[in-house]
Amino acid sequence: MSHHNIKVNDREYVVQEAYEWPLAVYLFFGGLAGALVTIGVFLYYMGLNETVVVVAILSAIISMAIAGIVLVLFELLRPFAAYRSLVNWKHSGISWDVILVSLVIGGGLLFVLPLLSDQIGTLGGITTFLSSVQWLLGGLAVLAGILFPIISGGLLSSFNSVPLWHSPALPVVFFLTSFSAGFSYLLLVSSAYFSEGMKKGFWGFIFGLSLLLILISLSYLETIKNGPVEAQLGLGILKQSKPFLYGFVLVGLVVPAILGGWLFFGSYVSGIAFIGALSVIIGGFVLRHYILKAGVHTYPWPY
Amino acid sequence: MARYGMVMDLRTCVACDACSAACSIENQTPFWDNKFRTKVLDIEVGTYPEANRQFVPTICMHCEEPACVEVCPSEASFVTKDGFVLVDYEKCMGCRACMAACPYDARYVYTQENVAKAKQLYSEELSQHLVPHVDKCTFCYDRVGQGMDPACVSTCPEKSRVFGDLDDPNSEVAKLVSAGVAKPLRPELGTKPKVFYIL
Repeated sequence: MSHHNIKVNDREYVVQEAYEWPLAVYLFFGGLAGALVTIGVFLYYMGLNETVVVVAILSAIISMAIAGIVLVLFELLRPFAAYRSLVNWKHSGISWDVILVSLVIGGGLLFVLPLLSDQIGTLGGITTFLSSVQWLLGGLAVLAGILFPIISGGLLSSFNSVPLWHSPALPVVFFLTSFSAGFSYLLLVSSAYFSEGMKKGFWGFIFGLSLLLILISLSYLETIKNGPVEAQLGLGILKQSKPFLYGFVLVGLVVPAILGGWLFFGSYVSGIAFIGALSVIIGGFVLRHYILKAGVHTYPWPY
Repeated sequence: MARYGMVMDLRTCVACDACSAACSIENQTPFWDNKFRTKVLDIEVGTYPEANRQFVPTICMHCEEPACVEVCPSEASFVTKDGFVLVDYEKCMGCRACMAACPYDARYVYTQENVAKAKQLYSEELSQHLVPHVDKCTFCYDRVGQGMDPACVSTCPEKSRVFGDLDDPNSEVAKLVSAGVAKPLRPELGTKPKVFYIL
């Protein structure tokens, strides 16, 4: 592989080239799908309009199935061998990632089918059976939806050769950004079904998650400043990337926190809510993309 | 059961690249695409006026705690009973997780184009690479099984590479390692590499 070497004090460093933007899309849509299914199931048991639940879960499944899985499959050298990724669950975090995504999609789809029985009928009694185990399917999908962003962040943070990733902050950051993107997505696509109080509640969540994200990002930065050279070089790449600075720091962190606070504590303005929700979603993707791009590791010199 | 390892002597390596060539022929690696299982890096050490040139041969470290095997979701990367870290081409789906996890940058992608070219060069019957996969050094597993050294070791004109059983106190590799003359790369990562370097 051709590398772009960075030399510091006689040691050389390279940016990893194994993971590129398709994986960032997969991680983003996977986390978004997990969050949407989780929020959808909770909204259903809170007695909210079923249409919202159907929109949440089906769009999660569609986003994941089409954009995430298909893209990653085409990134594989042998897409048709992808089923093998389910076998090494005892050792491999990636196996768990694939299992969890399957549970989000499968559990979500089976959970939502009984809600569509007016449109699709009982399918020979299938939807009747599914409605009798709906709580179980919903529970499984929720568990998988919560765990997916945590496990995928944990997977990257398990690579100790890339110190920028090797941090317990990453699973938390992935979790927070997935769920704030989930709430934002719902506000964008099914805003009409929510009361103003409900929307304010959603913005309360987004505001809280954004503040947490800022706190964790700041402490993450502090540990990197005193951390290994590789992590500092990765941070340098992020600092020099305008799309990261504008796309994540400004649009993904600052804007959602300010607008979230405004919409939660102040008056609700639909146009501002639209901008805020879009910002959260853009920030979530840009974060993943640039975290992968800044994965610097030592090129192993024996010094 | 032997525990095979290798020692690279940087004092004698002259970067003739015979190791890369021998390995390429033995293992049909895609040299036409500049991909090698073992290669010799030519690096600059120090700053003027003390700057120097250093040749560093690289290879898979056949770690005892291999990060690549741990992350592999399809069990394509595995460790044999005698400690060789290998890839089962048929099981490899090419997710590249092993490449990201390996701290030694020892793996590369054997693409569909590389497979096609290999079949063209070596014929369908004799090509060792029939499907795309992530590729790496095997310590010439088959040769070692027949009592020979890996191709790179046999070829090295400077005897810069020494191969043998790390558990055999009479072997040259065991002596160099136990005396502390040869050292592993990045031991702090806990991968326990079985390739050692003499500076």
